[in-house]
Amino acid sequence: MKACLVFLLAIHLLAAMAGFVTAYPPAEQHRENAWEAPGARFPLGTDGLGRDQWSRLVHGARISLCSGLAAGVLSAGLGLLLGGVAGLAGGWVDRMVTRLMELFLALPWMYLLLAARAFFPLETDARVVFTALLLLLGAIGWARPARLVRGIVMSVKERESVLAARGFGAGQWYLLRRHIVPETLPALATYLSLAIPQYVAAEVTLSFLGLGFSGSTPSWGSLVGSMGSLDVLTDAWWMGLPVVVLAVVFGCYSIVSSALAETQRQGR
Amino acid sequence: MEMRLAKLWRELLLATLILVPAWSQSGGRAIVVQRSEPRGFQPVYSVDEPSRAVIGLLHAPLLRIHSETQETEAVLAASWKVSPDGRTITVNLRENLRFSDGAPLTVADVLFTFAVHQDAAVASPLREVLQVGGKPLVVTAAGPRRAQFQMAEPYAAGERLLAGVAILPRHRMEAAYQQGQFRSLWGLGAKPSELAGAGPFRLKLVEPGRRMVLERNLHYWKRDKAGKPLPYLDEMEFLFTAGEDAQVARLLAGEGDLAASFGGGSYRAIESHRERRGIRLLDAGPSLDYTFLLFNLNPGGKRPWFAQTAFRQAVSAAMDRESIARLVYRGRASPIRGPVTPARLKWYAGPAAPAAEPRRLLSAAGYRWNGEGRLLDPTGAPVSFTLLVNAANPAYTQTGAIVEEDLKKIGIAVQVVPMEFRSLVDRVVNRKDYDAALMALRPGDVDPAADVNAWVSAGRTRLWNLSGQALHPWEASVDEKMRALMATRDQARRRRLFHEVQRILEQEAPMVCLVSPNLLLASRAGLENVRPGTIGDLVLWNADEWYWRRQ
Amino acid sequence: MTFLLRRLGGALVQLVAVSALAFALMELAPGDYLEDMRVNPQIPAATVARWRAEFGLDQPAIVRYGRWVRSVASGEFGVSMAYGIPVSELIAGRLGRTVALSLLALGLTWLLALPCGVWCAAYRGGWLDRLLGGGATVALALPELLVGLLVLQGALWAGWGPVSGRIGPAVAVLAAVSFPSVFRHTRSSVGQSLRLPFVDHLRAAGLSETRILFRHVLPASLNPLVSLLSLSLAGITSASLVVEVTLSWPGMGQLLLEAILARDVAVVLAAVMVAATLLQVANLIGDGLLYLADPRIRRRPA
Repeated sequence: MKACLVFLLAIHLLAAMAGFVTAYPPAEQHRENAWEAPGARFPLGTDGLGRDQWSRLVHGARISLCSGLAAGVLSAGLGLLLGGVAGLAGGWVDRMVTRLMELFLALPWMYLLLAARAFFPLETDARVVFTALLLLLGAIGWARPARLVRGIVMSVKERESVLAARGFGAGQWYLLRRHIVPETLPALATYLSLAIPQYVAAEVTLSFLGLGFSGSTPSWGSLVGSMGSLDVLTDAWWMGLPVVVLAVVFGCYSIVSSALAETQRQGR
Repeated sequence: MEMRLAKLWRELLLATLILVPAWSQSGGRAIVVQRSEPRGFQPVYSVDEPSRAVIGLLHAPLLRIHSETQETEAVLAASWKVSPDGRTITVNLRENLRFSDGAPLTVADVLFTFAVHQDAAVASPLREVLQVGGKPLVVTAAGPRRAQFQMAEPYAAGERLLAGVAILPRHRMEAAYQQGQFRSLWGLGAKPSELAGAGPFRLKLVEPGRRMVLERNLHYWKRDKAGKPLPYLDEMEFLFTAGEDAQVARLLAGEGDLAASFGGGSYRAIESHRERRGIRLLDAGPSLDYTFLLFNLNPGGKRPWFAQTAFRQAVSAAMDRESIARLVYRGRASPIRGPVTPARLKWYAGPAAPAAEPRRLLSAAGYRWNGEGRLLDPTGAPVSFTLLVNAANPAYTQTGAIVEEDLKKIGIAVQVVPMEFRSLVDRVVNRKDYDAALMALRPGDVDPAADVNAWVSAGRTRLWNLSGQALHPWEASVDEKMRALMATRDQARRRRLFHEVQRILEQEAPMVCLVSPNLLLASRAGLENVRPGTIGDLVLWNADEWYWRRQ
Repeated sequence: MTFLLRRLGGALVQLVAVSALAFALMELAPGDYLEDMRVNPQIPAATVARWRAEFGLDQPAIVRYGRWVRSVASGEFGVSMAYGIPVSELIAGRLGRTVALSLLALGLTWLLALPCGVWCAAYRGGWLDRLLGGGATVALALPELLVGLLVLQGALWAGWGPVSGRIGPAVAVLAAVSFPSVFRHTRSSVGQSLRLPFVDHLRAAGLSETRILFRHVLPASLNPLVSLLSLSLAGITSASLVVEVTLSWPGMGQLLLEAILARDVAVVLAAVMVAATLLQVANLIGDGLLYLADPRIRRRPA
């Protein structure tokens, strides 16, 4: 837990000071040094255009961590709200929200992303478009956490302690704050630990569908995606190193978020 | 150099071809790993490559363009003659031609075929192609085995119009045609027994999404020099995968015998495995394809600089094409400066004149640089523009990154905007709302006729200016020269005119041509006679001559 | 019975809503099916115009949607523009293969992830917990596309022979991709139930730990897990698109991928309807399970 926090802090510090800890700008091409294995000059090697992978990793952390986190939190927040309302209210409200969830899980959202991309003028900064589209993905993604939250709320509100509290005349708001929301926190923390990596890597699947949107902005999604071909897997093993870093970061996130949810639960 | 080697290689292969039939072995099956599945077996409507690949083996045209010599070659025709005024083509059919179901192929089938293509109700994509001077070809029977094609005015590439028009079996298709159900005929669900064609193979088995097996057409007309009937192979199988990596993996895993139309990265991946897997790799040099940076020169374009020849020349001169070929295509592409690649043997005008220094071009046109090295136009405004690239293809996004960096070196800020392909085309073609875009085109033939649509004002695919009008003298000059070369049959004159058009396009650079991806091919050792071509299907064009070497 | 009928009616309304919204979304996106023919110099403009009319693309959206609905009523589910045949005919064989793949992967995922999750919740920090936790994290950092590729590459490298077009590797990859989510949610949910007072009572009564875990704690935490069931099915059906394509499984994947890119409306709509139906079925099963397992819910009218 402590080690994780320190590591995460270090990663965020590195990302914040990306310019100081890298020797080259992330987009700079050293064309004579393409596909260079890690060494003194390029600690994580270079990609096919001779760009410093270390610099791309550190600079990419900014946009990916921020927008991945934001998209995950946005979907979790919306999910908590709608799922909670559905679970508490029950009846027709619940049925409506459940229908809406199913709708959102089945629709081909890729087309909305295409329309949204067309809405931005071409001159818009690539980072703005990137963040906006990822947030849109986050907003669309409310249905998953909402379904989880609804299930938990439904079983919690029938629990003896809650029924007892209600018997003593506790208001809805009190019940929500003291009994119901805390119960959903571990599940939401788990959801976040799963969702954030998925939002960070969403770009890979989207560019597979013809909708890459990072351009020359370095992002973790594009880093992961760039190892995605047989020739790279065969010749350039170091292109896989960013994935190791990502895995450690995501693992730390998962540990920290479940620990936080735990203290929250116990501290009430 | 690369080209010359490729040619030498081809000649060597041709030499062996002449020697082999004496000991070549018939029979066996070749498995081609394809990246995409045919959409159906309808020869009239299919315009996509995977369908055309299979249909090309099931059907045969009167004439075709030989994929290596790039000259017209008789297929179902025994001979053909163009009248001295260039308006009538007379075609004599071979004797005893039969479709794969055994029914005779006669001049009636030829008439039926062209009637179908010219029928407005059928909506054939060839309907307008089979018109000269706005009037349809008039096709008549001039004997039991002789057909005549009359054109309203002399047309330089007349006989090439007939190449690629598969002759349809009237006895199989007429009923559906009469009932107005032609489009739904021979869809993907068609039974093999419903189909008939005059190509080297016939359909045997379809497993949707998985594979397709063709078997030899016992009635195929062609024989080798020793009189042995073609095709040598008993069966051709197509194995369908999606994506290059899956294609390469299946070839390397021994599931297939041949793969083509992959990129430099896959070439590289196969290269590192080929020893162990008995795979033969071939890089036959540049294809007909050209990738280019397209400027929006439509009237009302937002960027005033693009209208200046010097600016476009400077952009062209700033491009590091060698790096694009080496890094993006992993050495499997050829730098080009104009839209006609060296693969168009007799039509290629040779390398372009060396480009001037980009900075000199710009300062001569009144551009300056500020303290930070940013380029300022004569009015003092900084120069920057956006570049659309197809997000689905990593080669384009990487090329975009190289272009961005190259132009940064001369002070131009380019913002690369990756975009889904159809959204991109919508902007370029329908809305004309963009600055510049990375595109690629593949001419359908080496003859200049294939470029008319893409380069002249009246052409619907002259992407840089779709207004239908010549806005600049050089556009008018291209129009004029292309018109002249399509109206004469004097081949030397056509060549000269075409070379002039190429020079204009290189000079004016409405499309800054970058590279031509090389023709790449991987086949299992022992499968002989597999040679990449340039026109039509790049690999399957001579599948009737493939054979397995005796072990 | 009335409950079932009402469910069915609701499901029908839902499917109509899904199709209408999906159609509207496709309308929002720029470009149409004929777009790539517009940049093909070999296809004359007149042909594109004529095909546009023939496919009805020149008609207003509402007319096209109406036409599609009528075609659904006749069982054709629209005509694919790329293939020129009814969608029902086009997807007939492939649909079954995709559903089989998805269900097998779903089964395998739950078969592995559920016991692992329960076990790791009980023995937090044990070696299995650490191992699976780490593995899940790595799997999360790798999108399904890369997992598929790694399998292809691994098979080549190790000489396992062909893996493409076989169901085993495809199921394995899909299960590996969806394992982390089910595993983690089970672990967290069971972990929560383990702290409920009744567990201590059972322990005091001398029941074996395994029995407590699987017979008492697991049913108590069933509710969130049932919600997860339909979610994981939704996740698997969307991931199967990519996995089918990378591992050449001849299901709907490749067809759908091309249709999405080509704006082949009828094919995309059909796939969306299939996904929505699967989801409905999963939810129905889930609710049934809850009804059986959780007496607290059974008490109240649904």
